[in-house]
Formats: sequence, structure tokens, C-alpha cells
Amino acid sequence: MTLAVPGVGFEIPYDVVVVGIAKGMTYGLTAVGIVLVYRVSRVINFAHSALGVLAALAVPLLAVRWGLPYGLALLLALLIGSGSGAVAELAVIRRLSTAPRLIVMVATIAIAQIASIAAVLAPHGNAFFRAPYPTPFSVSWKLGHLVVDAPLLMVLVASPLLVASLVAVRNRTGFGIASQAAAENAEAAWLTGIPVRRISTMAWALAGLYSSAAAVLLASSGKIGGASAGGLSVNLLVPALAAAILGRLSSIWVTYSAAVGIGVAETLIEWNYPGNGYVQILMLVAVLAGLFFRSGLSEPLRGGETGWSLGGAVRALPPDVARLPLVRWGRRLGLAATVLAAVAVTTVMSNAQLSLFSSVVIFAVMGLSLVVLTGFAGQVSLGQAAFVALGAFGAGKAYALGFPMASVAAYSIAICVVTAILVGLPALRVRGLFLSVATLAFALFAQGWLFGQAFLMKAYGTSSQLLPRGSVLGLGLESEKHYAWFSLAGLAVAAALVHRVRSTGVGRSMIAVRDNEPAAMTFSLSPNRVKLTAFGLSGGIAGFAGWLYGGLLVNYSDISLTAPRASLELVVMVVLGGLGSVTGAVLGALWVQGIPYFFGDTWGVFSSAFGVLLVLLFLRGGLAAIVFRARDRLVPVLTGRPLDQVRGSVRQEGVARPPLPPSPHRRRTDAVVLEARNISVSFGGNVAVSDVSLQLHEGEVLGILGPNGAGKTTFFDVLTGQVRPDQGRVILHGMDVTALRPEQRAELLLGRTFQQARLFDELTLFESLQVALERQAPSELVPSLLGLPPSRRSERDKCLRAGELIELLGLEPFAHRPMTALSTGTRRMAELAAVVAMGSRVVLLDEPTAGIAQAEVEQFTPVIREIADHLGASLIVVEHDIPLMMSMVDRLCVLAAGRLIADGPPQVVGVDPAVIAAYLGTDARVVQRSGRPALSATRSVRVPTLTKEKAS
Amino acid sequence: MNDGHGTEPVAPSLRSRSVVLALIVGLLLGAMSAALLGGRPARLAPTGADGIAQTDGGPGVPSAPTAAGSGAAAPSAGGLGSPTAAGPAGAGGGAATDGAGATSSTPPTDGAGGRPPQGRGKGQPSVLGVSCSKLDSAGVRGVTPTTIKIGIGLADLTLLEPVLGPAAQFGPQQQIFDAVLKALSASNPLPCGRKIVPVYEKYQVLTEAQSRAVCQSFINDEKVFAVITTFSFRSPLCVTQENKTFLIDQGYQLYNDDFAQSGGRLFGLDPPVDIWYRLWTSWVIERLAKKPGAKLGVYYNTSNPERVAVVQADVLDVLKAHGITPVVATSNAGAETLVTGDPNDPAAVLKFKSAGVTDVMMSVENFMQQAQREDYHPRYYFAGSDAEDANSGRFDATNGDGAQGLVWDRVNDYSRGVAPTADQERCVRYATDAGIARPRPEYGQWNLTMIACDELGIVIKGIIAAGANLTTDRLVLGVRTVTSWPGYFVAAGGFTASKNWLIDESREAQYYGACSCWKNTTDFAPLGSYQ
Repeated sequence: MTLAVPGVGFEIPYDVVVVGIAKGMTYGLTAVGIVLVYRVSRVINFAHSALGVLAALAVPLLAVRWGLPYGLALLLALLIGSGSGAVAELAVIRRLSTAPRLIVMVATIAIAQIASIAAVLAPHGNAFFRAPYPTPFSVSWKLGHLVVDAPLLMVLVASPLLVASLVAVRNRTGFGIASQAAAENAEAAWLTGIPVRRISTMAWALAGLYSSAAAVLLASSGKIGGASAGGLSVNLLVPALAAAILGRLSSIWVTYSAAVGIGVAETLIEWNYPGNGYVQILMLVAVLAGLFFRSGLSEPLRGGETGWSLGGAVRALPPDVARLPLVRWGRRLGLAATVLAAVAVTTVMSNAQLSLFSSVVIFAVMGLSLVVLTGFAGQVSLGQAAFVALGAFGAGKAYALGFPMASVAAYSIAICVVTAILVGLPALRVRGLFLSVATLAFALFAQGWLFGQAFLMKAYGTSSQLLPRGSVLGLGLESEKHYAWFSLAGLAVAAALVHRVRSTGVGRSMIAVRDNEPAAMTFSLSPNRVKLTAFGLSGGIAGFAGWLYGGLLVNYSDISLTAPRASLELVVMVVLGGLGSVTGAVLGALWVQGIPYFFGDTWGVFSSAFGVLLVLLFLRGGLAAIVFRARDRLVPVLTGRPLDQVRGSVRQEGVARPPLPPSPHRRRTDAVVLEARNISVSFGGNVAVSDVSLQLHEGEVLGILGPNGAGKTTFFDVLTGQVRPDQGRVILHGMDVTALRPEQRAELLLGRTFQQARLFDELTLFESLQVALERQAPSELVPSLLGLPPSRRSERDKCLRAGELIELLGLEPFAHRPMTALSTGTRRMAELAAVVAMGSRVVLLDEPTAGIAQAEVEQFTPVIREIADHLGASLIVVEHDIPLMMSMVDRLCVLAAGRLIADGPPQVVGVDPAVIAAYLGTDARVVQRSGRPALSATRSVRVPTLTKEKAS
Repeated sequence: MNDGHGTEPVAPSLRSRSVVLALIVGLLLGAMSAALLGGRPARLAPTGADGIAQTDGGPGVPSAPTAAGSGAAAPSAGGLGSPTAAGPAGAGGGAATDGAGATSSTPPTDGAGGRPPQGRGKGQPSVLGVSCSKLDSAGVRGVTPTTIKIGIGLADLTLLEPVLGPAAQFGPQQQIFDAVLKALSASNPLPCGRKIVPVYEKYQVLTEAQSRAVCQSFINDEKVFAVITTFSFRSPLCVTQENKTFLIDQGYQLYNDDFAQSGGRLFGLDPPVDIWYRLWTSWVIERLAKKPGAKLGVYYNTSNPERVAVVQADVLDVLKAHGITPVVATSNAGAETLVTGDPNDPAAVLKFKSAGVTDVMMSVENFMQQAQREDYHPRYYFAGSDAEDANSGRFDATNGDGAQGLVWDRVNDYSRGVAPTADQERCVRYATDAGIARPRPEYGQWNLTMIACDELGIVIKGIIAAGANLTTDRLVLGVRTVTSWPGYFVAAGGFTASKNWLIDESREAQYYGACSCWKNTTDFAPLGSYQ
């Protein structure tokens, strides 16, 4: 029986649907395994399919060659697969448990490569590639034109049973429940006695078992080759990942159902429109739709929110050290020596070596595009090689169209910028791992459809592309030596641009958004703008690399970069070299491209697979870390002073400082500067804030008290725009800002601090303040890249202002340390400094003393008031410390269960029976403590947290 | 291979690699690493040519082509000219001139002085002792009065060996080429006693940059006169178009466009992919014409856009022009699954089955296993390398039984029931005489040896025909005088002014499930239509 869609002739034969279901079920098993691992490790496991490869090979070895009963052979094979998963977890994943998720993801790619190599080198592996695969029984039922045989029946029956068993294990066993608890909150689970690590190992073992079952089912259909290559087979991965995203990486059944749906859709499309590339379009659309319309994706994202910072993998020298003549000249000489060495080597290289040299150099440029996108902006692209290929083909197309040579590069860069921005649009909704799926789908789409399109790629296909090199400044580039120099110059330009990006507000903004998007928004940074800038810039560099690569090849009809796996290898290359720096990109290219040349392909594959694992395990910052460590050892030797104590005048305790001058605008009036009107917010069925209204007056310090879960932070989020209220309005300086985004409210001088006081892990305190100064002088991309005078002036001003603020607040000893190296107290001071930098007139402080010792808390009150006076600002402070609140605020509000239950002078509210009952409870000690007089502020302020700071 | 001094070859120069290693060190240390290098790197070691001209009495050149390649060809008595029907090297032969790069299908003479090429008639001794004039080939890269430098690129399939099995095991490639060159040179003295000096490079077939580097090595480092590559060389236009140099390749994965843009300097043994697909289609059309009621299905992989374009233009459009509308199914699986099929097979089988397809053209072989499971038994048609044992390892014994193939290579003749021809045996002897173990016919080493005999033999013939004043244009013309080549790896054939690929014949084969092998069903016959 065949259904048909009227008008378009789209046929839906039911037996084809059955075939599609079976196909989708194989995707589903992979997808479910990915979800399983994601739930416990917060990583998309690219090695999932590979884990089952050895098991799939073991079945024929045991059952056919060794003559074991099929059941026993299968059992042993599943044990092998399960063991593979456990070994992967114990040997690699566990050791990377605290590593950024990107690092873990790359590790899984390396595991997949190693597993694929092992499968190829397995005993009798070649024979198994070609031999029929054993099945336990044989049947033959007719279903329309379709014959249902043992392999198909196995898929149709075993696949859902396996998934059902997995759901049962998750929901009904201690292991399952414990694993869910660990997935939700590993730390809390550990505190309740759940052996989180063991759970993780067991989950990986289970994933290995399911991967093995899927591989055996695939192999039973005569596809052992596909299964073995499946470790990195993008064709298998993308549908599975699309399904996993549609299942929000949480629901097993939704994921599985989505996979089946994708399998059916794919099969029907192939059936009706063979060879048109529509399947690849479907995959891309499915992934994008999943990312755009599955709002629940934000939940798992929160768990991995901190996972994209590289944690100071590349640490710049403190500016005062960098300014030392010895260091400054040493750096220049080192750079000059490197360039000269590279140029000198080209003079003695053969043309063949020059050609490979150019190739390595261009791969380094490709790597730089990932440094910007992933290293700086934290946006993972697994389709970067496709952009490079697009650049190369675009250049050929432009030349074929008769573009002047000078504009060919511009065309390449332009189409890559535009395409990258389009591909980056999902980044506005999701980040990290999820975005990587979109870019991987783009790589598949590009290979399957885009690169075949004459309107964009012409000459691709049977007509090879031609891209003559021409000449530059009278230097003919036909010579390999000249082209090597040209490539080097290209690398230098790209490296200089990337360096400029990193050292200006553009790069700091990218890192800020990557490390802490909410905080970045309150600093007036637009994440959308920053992310798309990163995508566009990265795409531009990739297009530039593609143009260079096309010029290297001159004639090309097909290039290896069109294969989706080339993009995965590119990521591996950059992570191996070191993701956060120009040096890393260069070293990665030298390693990955150089080793195959010196030692052959086999060593090349081993070196990139094992090499990257070793680097990830023992040298987190990649090969570049070696260079930077050497630098950090060399500089103290040369300067005679350890890096951390170069500033001899720095005391490790707080720095005495004069008080901040009060603002001439400081005044207390009845004018309302911020008003919340009938704000209500609920998450699902939970009401977080209910009909809360309050006003903040000019110059007022308003405190908000409330027990945990009272809705204080949610209320703050509504005021700053992080959360849209279900109802109610927010009025700032008389303007309704309810519809404005946080960064737009920041432009209206609304500032905020956060409970966690994280700021930006990889930025230094000095840089964080520079980020805060972006509101006053936003960094523009082109002037920053080109170092134009406005940009230089702006940068200089920000440096001066940040330095002033640091001095004013006595934070000099910590100015050039990354935020992760600072204590909680210092980070809180840094947040306050950032608020000052922004010049905010309305400031929301969310538990400004959380995590600080009580003795130091008491010193915070005058600091906060001092800053408020300095800014002439109005404050809202959320705090649990009642004495502090009583001593600091002019007015006190109390929230309980999302409702405003009191609003008035602190002395009045503090004795309000409703407040006492709702918040203070009946504990006499608490009540007594709440009545202690506020401590008086001292005018000579010592930054309270510095006594806690360690020298290191 | 010996370099004349009993030493092992220094294949792709380790010393030269040290230069790049020094680069890495230099970049890492930021030092002037050039100072560590101590001068220019050594060139790739030329090998094997020493003493070639002095070797007399070696095996002769290939015998005249035999009908249908049945293996009954008698070995030639040695000497020159027998394979070339046009007899370009006959004394005084050659009416055309080689003026200023003009290309002509007629045998060349010396363009400057009208001096005929110094080719010799059959059985005539070489011009030993007669030196070329300094004016001969003056300024021609890679040619001196006494030597001709040829670059030989060897495909490196090391990574694929475990997957492809014996077919990818090529043995000591360089030694094989040296041995064949030595033997052929001995029995085919070059004009004025020049010797061929080979230089070798390996290239990875998956990386275009490697092929490009090999091109640069040959052209701009080694300054070779001409280039020979085994197969899947990915920068043919670097050699032929950019650097105006002669190149001959086995031809697998070359396209019409490559030939068109090469300025006539690109030669192949096999037909380009476009022609391959057209031959295949024309052959299928002929077969279907004899089979009333047959319905054709086409199943192909879409992971390579280049092939997709060829399928469209040279299969589907050709079928359409003949009034045949096939049922089309595609697979989007990546290259990883090309060898063993992919999850799209079941739908493709179902599509063909439900549409009543009786005959299938396809390049995705796992389809058969699925078809067998679905109790669907169409007739299959394959062509070229798809109808070779190395690529049919996953054929289902039952379902694939009876599949039809159109072939032009002699690969796997052993399993097709054809004994090696006398020429092939002679070719193998070139290698064994040099101390190389006799390869088994199913191994890649056998095929590589045959390719070496084909490519080197053709180039030598071309050089002889070109005469003393050797230039690239004259070599092109000289090779085009090879109009009747017996073929070691491939079928017999010849080149013409408009056809730079060799084969002129093909034969049909059938797949037998019982032996999982192809066997010939017809003798070689002239190629069908491919226009």
C-alpha cells in the first residue's frame, strides 16, 4: 500500500516506512547512548559508536573462527564493548573530570580514532571486513515487497527492547536513580553518599554495551565496515545527534522516537528525490529546528555553563613585566628570530618542501580561525574545514567569473563571513556542545549539497578550479618559495589580527561572553553581537585560508577539506597545539601536518590520536603550554625576579587607600529611579515571584531580605532583564524597560553584581574592568583589527581608567591575575570596581558578602556605601546578613515565597511579626542577633578580603 | 634497488626531511635554525640507471598485441618497434616536424635541422657510441646529451592496506620500477645512447597537498623531463598545465577535464572516469536492447559531488537520450561505507524491487547482500575497476552470481581463467631477475609491476620516437605514435591526437559466486561508443 501526498507526487509506501523505521532505530541506539553518556559526563561522546567496534568484530571471531555458540560469542562481545566503555572512562574521561567540556569532547574524538585504528589492526580484521556476518537465526517474512529477515527483525525487535531496558535500568534500579541524581547535581549526589565516580564508570560501561549491541545489529545487516568506521562516521553521527537534541539530551524515549522519525523522513526523501542532497538539508534543518525550538536545552546548558573556559591556558605576562625593556626587546627579538628562522629555512628548502611548508602554514591559518571562534568565543565549530573549502571553491568561482585577482580573496572572505554568520545564528540560542552539532550538520550539508551547486561553486564537479597565483608587489607567486613567503605573510597577517583581537576590547568581550554571559550582559555587552562577530571573523579567516589553499593548489577539483571528518581533525589539531593562542595554532599545524610527512601516514594518525590524548591528559594547554611555561621560567631568570613578585612594592595584605571621593551628583530625593510594577514570574508550576511591586528612589539604599527560595534573585533577574516576567513592568529612570535586554538596560546605567562573583575566569581583574568600560567606549571590530587611531585611543583610555580604579580600590596586587586565581572576597571587590567602571546610577547587589568571613563582612558595609556615594547611585542589596542590612540600608523589603510581605524602614520591618514569622522564624538567637546595632563605618578603609589572599 | 654501488636507496630523502625538522626546531626555539642546516638539502637520490645502457641481451619489448588478450601472444624477439604500428622509430621515418611545440599526430623529426629522429628499425642495435649533439634538447629541463631524468611517483596506500588487503600490497615499488626500467632500457636503447635517470617520490592518495609537493619535487627540484605516476595522483594539472610537462598515470580517477586542460601532455592507461561511465552506459544500453521488457535501475553514491556530476552527465543523460528512464536510488553514506555498503541499501532494494527493476547499474556493492536477503535477484552491471576482484569482496555469492562486467584492465586475469600473457611473464621476469620475489597475481605487487611495464614502456617508446632532439612536445608526439600497445596492466590500445588514454578494447566478464571471482566471458573487442 502506498500513500501519496496530493499535488507533489510524494509517495509513502508503508514497506519503505518500515525500512525507514529500522534505519531510524539504528540511529536511535546511537542517540540513546549519546544521551546516556551526556547525562553523567556532560559531554557529547563522539566515540560512542567506536566503543562497539571491537565487540562487533569479536562476534565473528568467536562464533565463526573459534566455533563458540552464537549466544556465548555475543555475550563475550558485549562484555568487550562494555569493558571498552569502562576503560575509556577510567583512563581518559575520569582524568578529565574537571577539564573544560570542549577538552573532553576532543578526547572522545581521539578515542574514536584510536578505536577505529584498533579495529583495522585487529586480528583477522581484514577478513571480517569481507566475510558475511553471523546471525543467531533465520526467518523470512513477506511484508509487501519487503522481506523481513533475521537482521531486520533483530533491529525491529531488539532495538526498542534495548531502549526499554535502559529506561527500566534508569528508572527502577538503584544505579539508575543514582546516575540521574549524579547527572542533575554531582556534588549534591556525592554529599548524599552516591559514589559519583563509580556511577560514571558504570554509565560508560553501559554505553559501551549499548554501542556494542548497535554495532552488532548494524554488522548483522552486512555493515561491519560501516560500524567500524562509525566511530567518526558523520553520516551516522549527525542523525543521532539531531535526535539527541530533539530529545533535549535527557529524554530517552523522545530521543529514540526522534531518531526513528529522522530515519523515516530520510528514507522517504531518498525514495522520492534521489541524489538531490535533500537529506543533508533535512539533517541541517532538523538540527537547527531542534536547537531553536527546544527551549529545554537551556537546562542542560546550565550544568555545563562553566565548562568552556580554558582556565588560563595562556597567561599573558603582567603589563609591568611586559614593559620591562629586557622582556620587551626579548619578545621582539624572539618574534623576529622566529620569522627570520622561518624565512631562512625557506631559502634552503626544496620546492617540494616549500609546498608542504606552505600547506602547514595555511593549516595554521585555518587553526587561527578556530582560535578566535572556540578559543576566544567558546563557540565550538565542527564544520570549520567546510568554510575553508568554501573559501577555496569561492575563489575559483570568482576567478572563473572574471573577478580581478585582488578581489578574489575578498569574495572568498565575504562568502565565508556571510555563511559563518548564518551558521552561527543558532549560537544566539545555544552554545558549546549543542552548537557543535549544528556546525557538524553544516559540514555534512556542505559536502552533500552546497559544494555541488553551480551558482556558488561553479567549476566544482568535473571541471576543476583554476586559481592562478599572480603576483604581489612585483613578486611572482608562481615560485614555491615566493608562495611560501606569501603564505607566511598571510599567517603573519592573520596572527596579527588574532593578536589584535585578543588584546583589544573585541577579544575581551568574546572571552567575557564565553566565561559568563549574564555578567557580560550586565556590562552592556550584547552576546548576540559578540558571538556573530566571532563567527564572522572566524569565517573570514577560514575564507582567507581557503583562498590561500586554493592558491597553493592552483588547480583543484576536489579537496580533502570537503569531508566532514576534516573539520573534526582540524579541531583536534588546534586543541593539540593549544586552543587559546596563535602559538597553539602554529604548533598544532606543525604537529598534525608535519609528523605524517616525516614519519608517514600511520605515525601521523597515531600521533594525532594518541598525541592529542596525551596532551589533553598531561598538558592541558596543549603544546603551546610548553612554550609559555618556558617563557614563564625564562622571564624571572632574565629579570631576576619571580613572575608573581615582580612588583616589589606589592604587599600581600590589603592596601591602605584614601576613600573614594563622593559624587557631586550624590543626593537623596523622592524621585523614583527604578520601579517594579506587579512583577510575577513562574517556572513551570512553580511561582518564583508573585505580584511584587516596589520603588527605588534616588540616592536610596534599599535592602531585600528573604529566605532561600523567596524569589530574590529571580526578582533581580527581572529587574536586569535576565528573566522576562510573566506579567508586570519594569520602569528605569521613567522609561519602561520591560522589553529591553540586559545589555540595553546596562546602557541605561543599571549595574549588577552576582551571587557567585565569578566575573570572567580567564580575564584578569584589569581586563575585567576594561570590559566594564566597554559601555562607555564600545570596541569596534574593524578599527580594533586594524589598530586605527580611534581604537588605540580608546584602548589607552580604558587602560588608564582601569588602572585608576584599581588604584582607587587598592587592588593593585591582583590587577593582572586571572579571576579564577582570586579569592571570593577579592572577586566581590572586583565586581564593585566594575560597577564603578560602568558608572552605574542604579546598582543591584546580589548577596555581596556571600562567601566572605564574618569579620570581613563587617568591613564591607562602608565600602558599599562609599561606592554608592562615589557613583551617586541608588542601591538595591539582597543579603542574608541581617546586621549588615540593618546597618546599611535606608529601607528594607522582605520577600517570602515570591511575595512582598514587608516594606519600610529597617527598624520597623525588623520587628514586624510577619517578617519574624516568615523569615526569622521563632529562634530567639536569630531574633536577638537581628537586633544588634549596626557597626559604624570607618573612614580609613582597608580592602577587607586581601588578608585572605595568598601570595600565589 | 641498487644505486650502482650496492647501497640501499635513500627513498624520499631523509636528509631533505631533516631540513623541515630543523624548521620545527627553529620555530620552537625562535632561533636561526638555518644555521644548523649546513647547506642545501640533498636531492632525492636518483637510482638505478647506472649501467642500463651496457646491459645487452635483456628481454625484448612487448610483443605485438594479440587478439582478445587470450594470453596466446608469442613473445617478441626483442628489439624495437614491434608494438608501435605506426613505426615511428623506423630509420628515417617521420615526416612531421616538431616545430615550436606544434602537436601533430605524425611522427616527429628534428624541427631545427630536419634531422630525423634516431630511432632504429626492428632489431637494429641502439646508437651506442653516438652522442647527442649539444644542440639536441638544449635548454630542455631534465635532458642532457647523455641522460633523461624522469620523475616516478609511487602511490602510498600503507594506511589502507589493512582494509584493502592484498590488493593494496605493492611490494618494493621503487625496486620494481628500477628493475623494469633497467630491463626495458637494455633492450630499447634510447637515441644517442641517453640513459633514463629515475627519481622517486611517494605520495598519499588522500592528500592533495602531498601530490602537489611531489609535483614540485619533480619539476622544480629534480628538474625532471617527464613524470610517471602509478595512480590516484591528485595534481595532474600541476605537472601538465602549470609546468608544461609530460605525465602518464594509470588513469584511475582522472577526468576528461584533466585531459582537456593539460594541453595534451596528460596521458593515461585507463579511460577517464567520464568515458568509463559512458562506456558502461553504452554497453548496458546494448544489453538491454537484447532484453525486451527489461527495466533498469541505477544506484549510486552521492558523497562525492564530482562523481554525482559524472553519473548525471554520462549515465542518466545518456540513458535519457536513448529513451531509457531508469529507476534511480541513491545513497548518501560517506566514503567510509563505500566498500561495504550503508544503511540506505534496504530502501534502494525495495525501490527497485517494487518498481520491477530487472537490471541494475550500481557502484554501491553492498546492495547485493541486502537484495539477497530480500529475495530480489536482478542482473547487475559493473564496469572498470568496479568489476575487479579487489572491489567485489562483499558481493553476495548467490545474489552477485551472474553479475556482468565490462573491463579493460587485466587485473585478476588469474581468476578469470586467463594465464599471464607472455608479455606479462616477461614483465614479471624483469623484476625477478633483479632479485625481487615473484608476486602472486592477486597482489597489488603484480599489478604494480604491470603498470611499470606499461608506463615505462610507453614512455621509452615515446622518447625513441621523439628522437635526439627530445622536447616535451616531441615526447607527446612520440607517445602518440604508440598506436598499438599490447597492454600489461590494461587492454591493448593506442593513443591518437584526440585520445590520450590508451585502451582501445574491452571485454566482458561475469561474476561467479562459487569462487567469488570474475571470469572473462568474451575476448577483447573494440570499445563501444563513448561519444
